[in-house]
Amino acid sequence: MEVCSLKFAINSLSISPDSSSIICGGREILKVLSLSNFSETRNLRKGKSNLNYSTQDIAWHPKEAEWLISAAKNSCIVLWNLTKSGVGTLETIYKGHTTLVNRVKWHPNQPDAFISASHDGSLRVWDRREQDSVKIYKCNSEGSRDVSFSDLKDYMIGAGFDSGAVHIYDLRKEQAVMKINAHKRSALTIDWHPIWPDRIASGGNDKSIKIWDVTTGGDIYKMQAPEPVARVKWVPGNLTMIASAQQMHDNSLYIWDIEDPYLPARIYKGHIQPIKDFVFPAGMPDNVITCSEDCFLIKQSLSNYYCPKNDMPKSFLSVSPLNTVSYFTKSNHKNLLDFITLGDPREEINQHAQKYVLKGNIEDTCAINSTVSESNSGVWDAIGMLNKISSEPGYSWLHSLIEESLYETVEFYAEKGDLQTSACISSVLNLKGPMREYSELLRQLEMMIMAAKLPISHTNVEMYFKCKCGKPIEDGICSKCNNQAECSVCGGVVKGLYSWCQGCGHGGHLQHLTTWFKNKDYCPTGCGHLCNVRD
Amino acid sequence: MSNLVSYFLPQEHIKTLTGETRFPNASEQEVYERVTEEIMNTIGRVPHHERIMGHFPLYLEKHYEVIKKLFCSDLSISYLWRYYIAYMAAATHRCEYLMRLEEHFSRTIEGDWFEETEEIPQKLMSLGKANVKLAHRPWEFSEKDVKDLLIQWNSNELVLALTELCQFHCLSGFVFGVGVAPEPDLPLVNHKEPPSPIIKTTKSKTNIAAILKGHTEHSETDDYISDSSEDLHGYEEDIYFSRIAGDSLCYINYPMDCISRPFNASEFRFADQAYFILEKMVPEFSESIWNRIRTAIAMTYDYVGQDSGIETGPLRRAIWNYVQRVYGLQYDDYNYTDINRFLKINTKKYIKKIACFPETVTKQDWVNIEIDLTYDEMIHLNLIICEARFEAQLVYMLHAVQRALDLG
Repeated sequence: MEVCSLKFAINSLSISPDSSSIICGGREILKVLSLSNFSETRNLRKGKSNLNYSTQDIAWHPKEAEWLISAAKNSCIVLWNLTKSGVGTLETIYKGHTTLVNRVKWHPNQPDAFISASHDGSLRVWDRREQDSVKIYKCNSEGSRDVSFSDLKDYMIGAGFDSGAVHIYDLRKEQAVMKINAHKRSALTIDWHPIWPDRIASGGNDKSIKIWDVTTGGDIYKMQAPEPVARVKWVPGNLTMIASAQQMHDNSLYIWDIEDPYLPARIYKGHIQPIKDFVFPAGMPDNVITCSEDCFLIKQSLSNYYCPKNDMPKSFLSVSPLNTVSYFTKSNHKNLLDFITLGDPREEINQHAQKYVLKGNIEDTCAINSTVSESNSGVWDAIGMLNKISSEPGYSWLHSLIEESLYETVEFYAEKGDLQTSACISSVLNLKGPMREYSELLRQLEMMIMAAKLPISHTNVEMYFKCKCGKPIEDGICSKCNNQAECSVCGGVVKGLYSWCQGCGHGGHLQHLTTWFKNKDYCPTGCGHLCNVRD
Repeated sequence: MSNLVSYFLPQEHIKTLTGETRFPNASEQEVYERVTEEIMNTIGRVPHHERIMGHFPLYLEKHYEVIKKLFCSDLSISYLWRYYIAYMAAATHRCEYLMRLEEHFSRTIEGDWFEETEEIPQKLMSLGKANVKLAHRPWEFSEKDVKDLLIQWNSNELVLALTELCQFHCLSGFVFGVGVAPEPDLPLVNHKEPPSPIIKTTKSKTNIAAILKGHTEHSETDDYISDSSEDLHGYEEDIYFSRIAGDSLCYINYPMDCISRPFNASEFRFADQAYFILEKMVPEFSESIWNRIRTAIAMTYDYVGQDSGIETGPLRRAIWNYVQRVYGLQYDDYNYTDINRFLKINTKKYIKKIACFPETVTKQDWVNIEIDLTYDEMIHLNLIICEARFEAQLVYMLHAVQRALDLG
C-alpha cells in the first residue's frame, strides 16, 4: 500500500492514456502526479486562483494525452492543453450549463467529443473545437448526477438523475430510449459494463446498487450497501465484480460479486474519510487508487483485502414455541440441519402434582413424596430425617437451626423457579410458602382440578357477578342497566346454587350446567372457551 | 365567511372552502377539497394561514403532511411539549397569531397547557437559547450548543425539537408576509394593531416578465456587494415575547469575513449531506419535509403578472438564493450578479424583511415591492421565501448536529 498526502481534499482522479500519470482534482488542488512513485510532475493551478481551477470532476482524454477536461465548481467546463505551460494550459472555457456540472466524460472513440451532466437537469454533448454545445438533452426531472458513453456501443449514453431515474439516450436520436425508475431519491452514479453488452450498473441514495438490462429496463442483480453509494465502477478483467465507494460514514472501498450479493466480497480500508473517487490503472492490473477528502491518495493491491465472510458465524440455532430446537452447522465439510424436541415440562409437573401428598404426618408424607420425584427425593429424605431429629428429646437445642434451614430450603426452591417443590415442602411443614403462586402456575398449565385441590384458604377471596354491561352487580341488581345475574344456559335469574368456569368467568344454574357439560365441552355463552377440561 | 382572513389580501380574493370549482385544473381542485376537508375534520377549522396557503393546493398538501406527522403521530416528545415548542418558536418573531393557535389546539385537542411559567420543565426551557439563535443568527449555532443541549436531551428528540423550532420560525414569516388576520375566536392580546397606513405607491413597477424573457438590457454590475442598506431601525426588545422564546437576540447582517463561516455551502448541501442526517435522526417525517421542499422549488404556473408562458425558473432561483445568502449560504455555481438583475432594491428589502424580521412587515412594503405580481404570486413569493429560509436553517442546524455527534 502506498500513501501520498496532498494537503488538500481530492474529489476526482483520472489516469493518462499511457498509464504513467494520474491527475488529482479538488476544490483547491489540480496536480499531475507520476503513477510510479506519486511524485508531482505538474501543478496546473497557476495565476490568480479562481473557481475555474476548482474541480468537481476531471477526465483525461482516453487517447490523446494532451487534452484534459474538468467540470469546474462555477458551472463551467474547462479544457486544458498539457502541451502548453503556465497560464496557457487553460485552453478553453465552455459555458452553457446554468448550475453545477457534476460529471464530464470523453467519448471513447470520437477524439473531440465529450459529454457533461449538470444539476440543471440537462446533458450536453460538446465538440472540443466549438464554443457551444453540439447537442442538449433536457430532462425535466431533477439534476443529473452522472453520465457516461458505453464503451461497446459508443452511441449509447447512460445518465443518472436526482429523481432516482436512470435514462438511456441514443446519440442519433432526440428522446430518451429507455427510462428506468432505478432508485428512491437520487441515482448518484452509473457505469456501463465494459464487456457485457447492454448492462449498466447504478448506485443511489437509497443505499442500493442495481444492475440493469437496458433492452428491457429490468433489474438483474441488486446489492444492498450500508450507506448511500457515491460511485460504482466495474472491476476490469472480471465479469461479475463491481466496486463501490460510499458517500458518508463509511471510509472503505467495497468490491461486490454480483452473483453473491448479500455481503461484499472484499473490503479495502485505509482512508479516514469517505472515498470520493477511485480508478483501476490499466497499466497496473491488480491495483486500485483511491482518493478522499482526507487529502490522501492511496494505491493498494487488489489481493490484499478483508473478506467479511470469514468472520460470519457458521452455526445457527433456533428454538420454537413448541419446545423444538433446530440447529444448522458445517461439520467435516457437511451441512447438518437437525431438530431436537425437548421434554415437555408440563408433563412432569402434572405427574408430580398428582402424586405429592401435601398434608399429614410429616414423616410419612416425606417418605411418600421422596418416591415421587427422582431428582428431589434427596430433599424429602433430608426433611424427613431433620424432622425426626428435631422431635427427639435432647435435641431441642437444634430446633431453631433446623427451622431456619427448612425455611431456607423453601426459599431456595422458590428462587430457583421450582415452585412446585417449594410449595409442597412448605405445605407439608406448615411453613409460609409460595402456595398461591403454585396454584396460579397450575391454573396457567390448565390443571384446574389439581389447583383446586391445594390447601389454600379462600376466605379472603371476593366473588361478584358482573353484569353484561361490565359493571359489578351489587345487591342483586346492576345499577346501570337494571339487570340481574343471568344463567348462561337458560337466561333466567340466578339465585341459590350456581357454578361458574374459572377460565372464562361464565356461569349459571348448577343443574343446567351439569346437564350441559354431560356431553359438551365448550362454554354455553358461545365465548369459545373449553370449560369442561377433562384431565 | 365574513371574518377577515388577511390584512393584505382583499377578502373577495380568498378562495372559499366550499362551493363551485375554484381551480381551473381538475386535479388541483380535487387536492384542495380533499386536504381542506381533512384539516377541517382533524382540528375543526381551517386556520387562516392554511386557507391562504390553499391557493397552492399541491404545496398545502405537502405542508399539511408535515404538520400532521408532527402533531398527530406518536413521536418521542409528548404532544403538550410539541405544542409548547411551536409556541416558543412563534414567540421569537412575536407571531401571536400562531402562539394563540397552538395554545388553543393544545388546550382543546390535548387538553393540557402550561398555565404558570413555573410549571414549564427546565428541559424545555433549555431550548430557549437554541431557539433564538436558529431564528436570528443560525450561523452562530455551533456544535457546542448542541453538546450543551445533549446533556438533557437525547439526540433524536433534540433534532425533532430543533426541526420543529425551525419550521415555526418560517411559518411565522409566512403569516406576517401575507398579513394573516387573527381567528375570530382567538384575538391577539399583546400585539399592537398596525395602524391603517395610507397606501401610496412610490416607485413604478418593473416589468419582470420582460427581464425574464431577456428583452431588457441590463448593465453587468460588479460582484455582488453586501446590502447594508436594509438594516433594522429602532427594533426594541419586547419582554413578554422574549420571556416565552427563552432569550432575546436580534438579526444582524451576516458577517462576510470567512472566520465566522462554519462551512462551505457547496460542500454541505441539503440534498446530499444534511438530509442524510435528518433522515437518520427523525426518519418519521424527513421524507415529508423533503417532498415539501422539492415542491416549493419546482412549483410554477409559468406566468408572471399579466404575461404567461414565461420560464420563471431564474426568478424563483434568484429569490431562493438571495434568501439563503442573507443567511450566509453562498453557492459556487450560482452567478450572484443575477440577483440584482431580477430583484430590485425594494423587492430585496421585502424579501429580507420576511426572511429575517417579518414582524415589521406592513402593507406599505407589500405595495412597494416594485414587481408587478398578482395576489396569488405574492403568496407564491412568500412560500418560496419561507421554504428557502427553512432549508437554510436546517442546513446550519444539521451541520452542528453532525459535528456534535461526530457522524462523519
